[in-house]
Amino acid sequence: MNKVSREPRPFLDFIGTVWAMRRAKIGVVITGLICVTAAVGPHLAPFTATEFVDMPNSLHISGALFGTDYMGQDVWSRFLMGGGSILFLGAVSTAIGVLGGAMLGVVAAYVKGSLNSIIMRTFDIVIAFPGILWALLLLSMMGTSNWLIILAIVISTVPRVGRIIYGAAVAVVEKDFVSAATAIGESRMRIVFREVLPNVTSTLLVETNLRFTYSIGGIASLAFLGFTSDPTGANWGTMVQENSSAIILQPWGTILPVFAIALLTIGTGLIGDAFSRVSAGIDRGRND
Amino acid sequence: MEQQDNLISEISRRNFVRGAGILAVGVGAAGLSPLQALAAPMAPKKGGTLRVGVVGGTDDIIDAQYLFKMADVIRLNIGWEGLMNFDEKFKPSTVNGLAESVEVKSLTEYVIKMKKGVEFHNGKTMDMDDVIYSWQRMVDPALPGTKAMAAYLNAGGLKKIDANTFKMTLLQPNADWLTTFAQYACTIVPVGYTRTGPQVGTGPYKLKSFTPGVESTHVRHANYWDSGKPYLDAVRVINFSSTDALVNALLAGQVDAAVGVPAALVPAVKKDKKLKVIETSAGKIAPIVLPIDEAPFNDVRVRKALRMMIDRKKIIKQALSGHGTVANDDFSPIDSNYNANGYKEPKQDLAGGLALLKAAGYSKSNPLKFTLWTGSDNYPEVAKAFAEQINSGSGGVAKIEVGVPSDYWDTKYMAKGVGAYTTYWNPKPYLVQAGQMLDVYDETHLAPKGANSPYRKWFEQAVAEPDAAKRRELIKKMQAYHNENGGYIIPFFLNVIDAHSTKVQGIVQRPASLNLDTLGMHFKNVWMA
Amino acid sequence: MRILKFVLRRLAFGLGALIAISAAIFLVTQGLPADPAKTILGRDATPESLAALRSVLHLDRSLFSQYWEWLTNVARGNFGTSFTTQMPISSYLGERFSNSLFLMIVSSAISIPFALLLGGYMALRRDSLFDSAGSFTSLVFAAMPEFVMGTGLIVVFATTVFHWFPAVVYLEEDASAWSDPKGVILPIATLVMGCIPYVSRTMRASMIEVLESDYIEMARLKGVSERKVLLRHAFPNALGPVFQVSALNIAYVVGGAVIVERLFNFPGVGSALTEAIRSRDLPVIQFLSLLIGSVYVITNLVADVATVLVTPRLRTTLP
Repeated sequence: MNKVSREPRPFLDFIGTVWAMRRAKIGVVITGLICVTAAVGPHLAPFTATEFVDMPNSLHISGALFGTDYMGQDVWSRFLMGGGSILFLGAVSTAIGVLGGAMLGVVAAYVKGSLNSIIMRTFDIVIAFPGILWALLLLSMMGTSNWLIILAIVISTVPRVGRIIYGAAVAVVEKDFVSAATAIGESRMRIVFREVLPNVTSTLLVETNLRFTYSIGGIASLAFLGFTSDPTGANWGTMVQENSSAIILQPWGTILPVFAIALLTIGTGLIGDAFSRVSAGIDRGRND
Repeated sequence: MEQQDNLISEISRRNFVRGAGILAVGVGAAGLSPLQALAAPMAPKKGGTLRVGVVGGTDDIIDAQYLFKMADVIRLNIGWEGLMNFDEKFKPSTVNGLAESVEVKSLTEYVIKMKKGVEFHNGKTMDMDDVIYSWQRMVDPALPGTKAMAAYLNAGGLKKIDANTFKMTLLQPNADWLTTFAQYACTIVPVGYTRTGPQVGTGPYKLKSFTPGVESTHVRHANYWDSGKPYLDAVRVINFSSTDALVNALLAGQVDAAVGVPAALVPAVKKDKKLKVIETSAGKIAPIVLPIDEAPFNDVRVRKALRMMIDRKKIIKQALSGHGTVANDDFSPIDSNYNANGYKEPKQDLAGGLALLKAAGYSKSNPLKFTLWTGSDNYPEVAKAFAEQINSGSGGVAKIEVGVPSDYWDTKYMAKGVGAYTTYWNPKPYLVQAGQMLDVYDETHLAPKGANSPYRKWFEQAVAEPDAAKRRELIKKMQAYHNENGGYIIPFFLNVIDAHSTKVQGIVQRPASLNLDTLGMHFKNVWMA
Repeated sequence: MRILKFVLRRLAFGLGALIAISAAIFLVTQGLPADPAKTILGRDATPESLAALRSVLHLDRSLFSQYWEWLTNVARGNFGTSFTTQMPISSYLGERFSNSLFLMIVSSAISIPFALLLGGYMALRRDSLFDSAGSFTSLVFAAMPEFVMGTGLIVVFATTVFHWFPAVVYLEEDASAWSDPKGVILPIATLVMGCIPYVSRTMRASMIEVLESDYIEMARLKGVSERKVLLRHAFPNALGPVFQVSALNIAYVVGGAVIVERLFNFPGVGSALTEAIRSRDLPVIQFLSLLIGSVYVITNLVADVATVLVTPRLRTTLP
């Protein structure tokens, strides 16, 4: 089998190659646009998120280009304010999930025997049941604070990241330089951090991006189902749910947030695709 | 006679019960003016199946005398009837009921003569044993939700006089007892009826099949006592998981009638020329409840301030899309004693409210904070609009949070120490409503905790007072007291909105005890063009 | 023989996973703030009736013995009675399951073959316009959460741009999902659009790898016609990894499609479970979780076996 030997690509090299790809550029632009909207939006909003502007579900209101939502609030203002919590929760839950999953995956790759089995089997069991159902159960039973929402996403993220990183780390662990390090007598932790982690970087990047995309989608979906920590605040996911019954009267309340979520996930998806192509290119000694 | 502590106990928002139960005020459809009711020039056609949509769930039940929610009400009303119904003037009438006549001998003694030849769905003819069994079941202490009526009536108070007449003797006087007879859950069942047994009643349609959470089918009762009716062959009551799905189905022509159309979607329904919207106002309320025995609501200044700071007209616009009328925190507008003190419509008074809050010790650095809980099926927009108005109007002196948990009714409604919450009540006479409120919330939400609250005293006197003028005086006192001290904020009266296809005939737009023109009086006046 | 052992081991593991999942869910649902007895009896529960119901439902026994009782009942085919409807679970949930099954079969039958062909062709015409456009489109669809996709479909085809389809599924009593073909088109379309990207991309990647392999090069050198190379050698070998992805997507429709069911008011397993969670109907929660888990286990097993059968070289390294 033709397989070019895998050498760890310097990190900057990797990023540079990714950036050279057009789809990465497009992805960054789109994602950046949405992030900026979410960050700056609240300061540009003409009304507050809960202010009463005019009769609910109305169009053609002076001062409110996109009309009012189900409670007479300004759609445009709520749209501008609706991205922040999704992005924040998405980022935090991805960070925790990827970190946790990566660590567990690496640990499982390095230790043999029963600990490995326990970790991997637990991963398999969690994955064997749809993530959204775990989230539903958890949030229905325990409430919907921000930390619980994050936990729900983390539960889905950790085993999936763990599995992928485990696969990548196993290949590395079997390599000589790790055994060499063990022979020299380096402590286990240092081996893990020094030798194994850098070699799974590209995989990690791909996974992080992928998980971020799913986290956004997951949090928005949970908001759509009604699981949000702030029922009155503006949130793209809840906006879709609140306003979708009145689509025939007032489509913007649904279209704007849907569009934003779509763009965001597409943007991060493009970046992730670039990551994975470069990473695969490394694997096969090619540059796509 | 010792003063009862619970005159009408345990009537919860959801567990409607007969007795002081859901006494709707309104016109019985085919009541005193059948010619007016059937104003349509066409003659009713026989046949056809009516599909009625309602929001329900897998916890739907069918019980002749008990219900939790709207879906249960419809299924009850289709198959069972009681002694009386309400007429156009909201007075109990025997025209559409099973009683032939009702004689009020005193506030504790009633002699009722029943109609002859009424047949149950299973062919049995109704007799006095059935009637007495029905009333005994309504006060059976072993069954849930019976405590309310059991305060007034027990099994021993029912006595057969002859083959068609019986006497009812109450344990205490009750000036409004006749309205109990017209209450739609006080129905007549055959001897031995239970919720798990065969579902047999006297109503125009009998139950054919029922899948909880999905649908029920009711077919024409061939020997229905009101001969010539009903017109339809069958009625199907179809469940939907949400009002959106219901309205969508209505717009797509998948149901012929929808019970409970959300205000925000009325324009969409009105757009469709094949549909007709029935909107009535009879005094339904969706109040905000401030538990007055708990901080911060135990300070009357806080309660008054909250009342003063809301813009009621704006809440109606925002939460109800304009489908409501302004209220002044008092209830039962249909009652002749409504607003007996002549209070004017309250205007928003931010300055006055803020002054009260400050006097109570609240400020920007020490804001009034609490959570207002509501359920997603309980007009959450009301809670949200209320909170928003107070928060923004107070400039940070008040900070109200809204909570909409999925298990609101189980965990937050009427729970202690959680904050304020919302509820709703269907329209009913003043004393009945006051009694239910006193009962459900025990003394803490309407009057200061502890016995001897003046409100409760006046209530008990009013209920037992046969003289109308004296009763009015007592009610005036109650209303004044409630206005000053009460823990209820009632900003508006909700309109009841339903819709049906233009093919459906026999439903008239007028205030009624139940949606859809009292469901077309057990659906017996309804026919399909 | 080897394959048989493999299958048995995977079965055993699957069974173990099911038990573990059901135990985990049992634990989570016990962390309820609400008391099931109170939920059933509602507001007029008296302390006596609560205690009576609790003992009838065996809620007063230890967690473990409750779970064990449930497990042994399930093994005997007795799935329990719903708390809310008081009806035996298997009878009234059968309909929901067949609805979800219908969705699963139809959406998979459409998406999988299409995705395989699409992915294979994209691999063949690598870096062509078709490939780039296809990759981009599939990326777009893969990234979007399904309620976005579904809502988009509704806006375009049902409510705002065109009015071809109903926005909501409505089924008559005792009617099954296939009695309303027009109504189920949009939910099926949403599921299909969610499934195709993954399967086609996996197929593409796998096909590319196969096409570059020594094995194929040998076949070409030997003079085998390109057509035969593709159909007899490349395609079947590329299928291997695809089975896993397909299994995931197929199983997902039963139970994981909670969003799609909610959006379109489709009466399937996902919405039944959501309702059961909302009303704290423990037996239904347990039963449906088991059902969904079983679907995953079975589809994964079939996928694993198919992978092995299709990829001869894997047979020598069976775990």
